[in-house]
Amino acid sequence: MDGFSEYDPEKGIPLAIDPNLINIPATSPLAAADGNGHEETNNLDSTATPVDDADLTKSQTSLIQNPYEYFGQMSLEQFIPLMLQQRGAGTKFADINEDTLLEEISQENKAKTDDQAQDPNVSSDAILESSGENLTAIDQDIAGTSIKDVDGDIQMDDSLTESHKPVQVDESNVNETDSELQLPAKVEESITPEEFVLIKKKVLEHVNMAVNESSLSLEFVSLLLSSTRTSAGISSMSPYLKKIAPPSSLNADKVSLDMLEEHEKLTYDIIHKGWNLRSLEECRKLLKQHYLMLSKSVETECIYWKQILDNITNKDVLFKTKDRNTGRRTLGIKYGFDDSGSCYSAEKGVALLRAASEGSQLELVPVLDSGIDIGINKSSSEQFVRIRIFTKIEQEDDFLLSGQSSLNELLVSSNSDIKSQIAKLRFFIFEKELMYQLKKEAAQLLPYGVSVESENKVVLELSNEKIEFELINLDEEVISSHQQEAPKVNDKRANLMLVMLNMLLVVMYKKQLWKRLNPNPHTSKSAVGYGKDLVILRAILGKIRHKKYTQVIEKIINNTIIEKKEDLIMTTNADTVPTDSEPSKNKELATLQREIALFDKILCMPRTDFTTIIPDKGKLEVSLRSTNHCNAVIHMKYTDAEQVVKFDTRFSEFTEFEEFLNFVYNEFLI
Amino acid sequence: MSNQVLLDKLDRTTELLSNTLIQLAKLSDLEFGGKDTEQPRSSSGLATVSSSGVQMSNNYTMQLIKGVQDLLVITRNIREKWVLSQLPENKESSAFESEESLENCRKLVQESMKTLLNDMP
Repeated sequence: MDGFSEYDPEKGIPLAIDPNLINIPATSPLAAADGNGHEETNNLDSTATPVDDADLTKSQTSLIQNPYEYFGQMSLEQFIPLMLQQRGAGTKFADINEDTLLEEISQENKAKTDDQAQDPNVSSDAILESSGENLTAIDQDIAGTSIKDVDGDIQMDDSLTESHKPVQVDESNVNETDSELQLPAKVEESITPEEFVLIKKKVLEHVNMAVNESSLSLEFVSLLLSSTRTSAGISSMSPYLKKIAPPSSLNADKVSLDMLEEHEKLTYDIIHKGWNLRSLEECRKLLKQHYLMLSKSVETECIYWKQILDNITNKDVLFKTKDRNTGRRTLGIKYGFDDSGSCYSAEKGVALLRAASEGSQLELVPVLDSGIDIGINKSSSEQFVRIRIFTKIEQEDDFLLSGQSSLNELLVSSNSDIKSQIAKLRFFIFEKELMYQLKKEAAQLLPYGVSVESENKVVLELSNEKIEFELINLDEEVISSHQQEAPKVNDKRANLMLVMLNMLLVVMYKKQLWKRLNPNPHTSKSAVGYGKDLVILRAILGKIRHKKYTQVIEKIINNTIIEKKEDLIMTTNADTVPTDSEPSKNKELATLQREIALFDKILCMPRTDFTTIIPDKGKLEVSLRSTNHCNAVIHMKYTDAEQVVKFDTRFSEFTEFEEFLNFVYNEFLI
Repeated sequence: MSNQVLLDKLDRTTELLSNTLIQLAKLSDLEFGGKDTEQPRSSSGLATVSSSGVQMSNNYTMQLIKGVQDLLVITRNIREKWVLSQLPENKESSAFESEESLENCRKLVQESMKTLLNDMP
């Protein structure tokens, strides 16, 4: 037969039996044996066919290609011709009957037992070999040569005997397999097929993995090898790797980890210590440098706060602020009179308490509205109000300086500590406001001889003297000239006037403060400034004018009545109407109220009552009043002896009053 | 900043200062990276230990300085609080406390006004 060949031991053992006949699923040992001789076994298989057929358990895993299975599944039409072909030409299927088959089997058995008796301890190899021999014999037999076997165990002429032979081999093989593969046998005893399948799968997985890894390492080694021995490396590289990585693209080097020797260790130790020392030295320097810096700033701070403590009392208004020039936090002080009731807004009245750059001195830097603090600007900031009184020289149309207000002590003093600096700032801002308010007032007092001569000068002209209120810059010249000037007659008056003006401005503040503390719902809050309450210059001017008016009235009364009659007594009463506001319950408010009340007499409208009692003719009452401090309104009332009010009139002109008084005298008093 | 916050900050800063000082003192030990670190076996490991030691000591120094600066800032804050709220009460009281002095003032004011007027020519 064409497919048959001699048994080649190098190619392994051809599979002689159908593993399905034995009740073991196809396992690796048999499968391994299987791979070698497909073709031979294929044909051999036909001998086994009578036995199998029906209950062939199919191997689930097709590790082997079992030809017996194939035969078992063949239909009779295919199988019988095949079988007949194997049995040799001339055999007929009808000749095969049960008897001949049984005979063949018994012969087969006998031959087998003989074999085993000869060598009972046959090893599996031997068995396999023998079976291999047998198979070779069978091969030869099947090839159609009817040569008798040497040992004569098998009758070559009778093809039936051969058909039993594989079965026998099979049995012996099974026995041997048992002994050789005890584990699968035992496993078969204790585990179910499902579990077995599971285990088998696992084993396969592991095997696959191992194969995979080993092939990977092979690839790696090959690639590594390809750099030195190209051909050897390439030969074991997979085509895929060859494609992906060009040969000799991987290299390796051996780097030795040099362990430190003793003297090296020592060297490194020294280096380490050196580093350490150096860094410590750096740290020391750093610390020292910062220590110096910080201790300096501590010192500065100490001095700063000590000066604050020395110079600032709890009456000062302090607040936290930021120095715009240096960007540092600092304290600000308010020297303006905002909180005291001032309405002056031309200047903020705020200064910074700044530590000077040397750190030892506290600096006071006023903040101007422009945001740039230019220090205490000599030309614009240090101004004060000076009052000068000029007296008219008789017969000449000229005025002579007769009095001048003296310099404030503060300006003369050379003290320059923070306290006096603050005081100076306060003084200057106050003076500036005073001038500002004077100018404002002067505008309303034009009809009474007050004029604004220049930006910083207000002049009050009286009949025989002229009073100048001037805001002048403080400079050395002014100071020295003031000190050198000889005292004059009206110096005292000028000073008094200045003091009075100052005090009146303070009263204005207090009134404003009172208003703020007692907000009146009827007055509009939008009104800024003192409005009608602004009475500073007006009060003084009013008093001066009132005095003049009084003199005039006295003169008129004297001329018209008193000089013409005897025993007339005129009494004058300059009492003003007392304010009848009840004292506030709040202590601070009450104090404020009382302080304001001190000036009631000066601030109220001037009024003088002249009472002349004419015996048997009744009483003449003249009252000189004012509606705006400066004008004069004359009330006249004449009551006769019968207490009948004959006249009760009012005049604003002195001539009218005089004429009327004459008329009254002529009519009633003669 | 409330008082409590200030005090807490003070506590934290002092704690930080003492810790930093301890660390710095430990680092100043000239032996290999202190006792807790392993002696390195290779030269590169040794270099790492050395350089990290240098870096650490620098860091701690800067921390120390920062802490002291913080302390100064805190003292400044405390002083500001004091100056803005708790300046000692000045004993100087208003001149117008008593009725008598008030009356004197009134007289003085009027007298001055009179003088002002009487001296008029």
